[in-house]
Amino acid sequence: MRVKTDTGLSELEFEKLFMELEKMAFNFAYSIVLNSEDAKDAVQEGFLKLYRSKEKLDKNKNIKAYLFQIIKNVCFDILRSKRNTQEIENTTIKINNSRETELDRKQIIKEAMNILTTQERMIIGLLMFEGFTSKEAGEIMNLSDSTIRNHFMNGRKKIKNFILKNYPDYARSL
Amino acid sequence: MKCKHVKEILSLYLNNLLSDTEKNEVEQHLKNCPVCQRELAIEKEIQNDLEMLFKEEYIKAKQNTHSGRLFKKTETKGIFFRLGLAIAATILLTISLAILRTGASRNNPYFIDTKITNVSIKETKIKDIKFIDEKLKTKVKKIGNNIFLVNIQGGRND
Repeated sequence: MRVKTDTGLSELEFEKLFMELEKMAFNFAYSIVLNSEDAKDAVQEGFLKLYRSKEKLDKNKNIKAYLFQIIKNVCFDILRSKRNTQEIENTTIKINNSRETELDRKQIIKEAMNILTTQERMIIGLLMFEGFTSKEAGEIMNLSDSTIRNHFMNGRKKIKNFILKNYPDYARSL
Repeated sequence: MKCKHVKEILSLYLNNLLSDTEKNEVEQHLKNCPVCQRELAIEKEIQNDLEMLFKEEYIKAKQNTHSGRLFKKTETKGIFFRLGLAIAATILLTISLAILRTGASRNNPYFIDTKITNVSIKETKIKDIKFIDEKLKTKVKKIGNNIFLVNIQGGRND
């Protein structure tokens, strides 16, 4: 009698997984590198590594968490190589308190994200966009549930304080 | 719940990261607290802008691909691939420039008809020519009256 194992993903199963996780993977990568091109590269590398090992994957384990761990490592490599070659995107924070300046909300949020630690950004990415619970995010980050929540709160608090301090007009209309 | 605590956990509330008890307490507090209601409005605004930023960047990334997918099974277009490609291109360019500058390669002897002023001819057979900057090794063969075959054997690329 042949024993059915739960090891390995077929092409079709992999494709389904990719369709399901592509956006989440991008958002997670973007939360770390804060650059669309680098995030795209990280997604490519992450899925490629997963694809190459698809025959050995255990379906009973959390493949999603495994993928995000791979992407996290790829993103860290990207950040490290950029730091080494001093190619870090010069996203100079231009703080302008002038009320006449038209608020570019996207730019403001990006600036605010820049002041967070990588860990805070990652946790915000995981909890806000990936639909992870704080427990699942903790598995990926190797942190406890309560630490994840604390980092999330701190990160969001930093964003809010940064915006209200540097762009008082942001919340004026609310 | 006091305002200070509610303000702290509003971002968790917005993202469904509170327990049911905490959630109910926050909602009860919000009903009667305009200050916290305003705080919630700010948090919502930040949440919307964050979502907008990520959404737009995702769309941008997909638009910059040929297939509209962020992953190709056969092609590695990662940063490391590009870095490797850049290094290979640099090496190739350096070699090409070196060949262009020397005007010859090891296997292709080259006739030089410029004046070589620092060669002392004491014997009929010239063994070697040393260039002024001593950067190239050569083998010289006389193949005719006043015609020498100079075989440049390499040396430093520059």
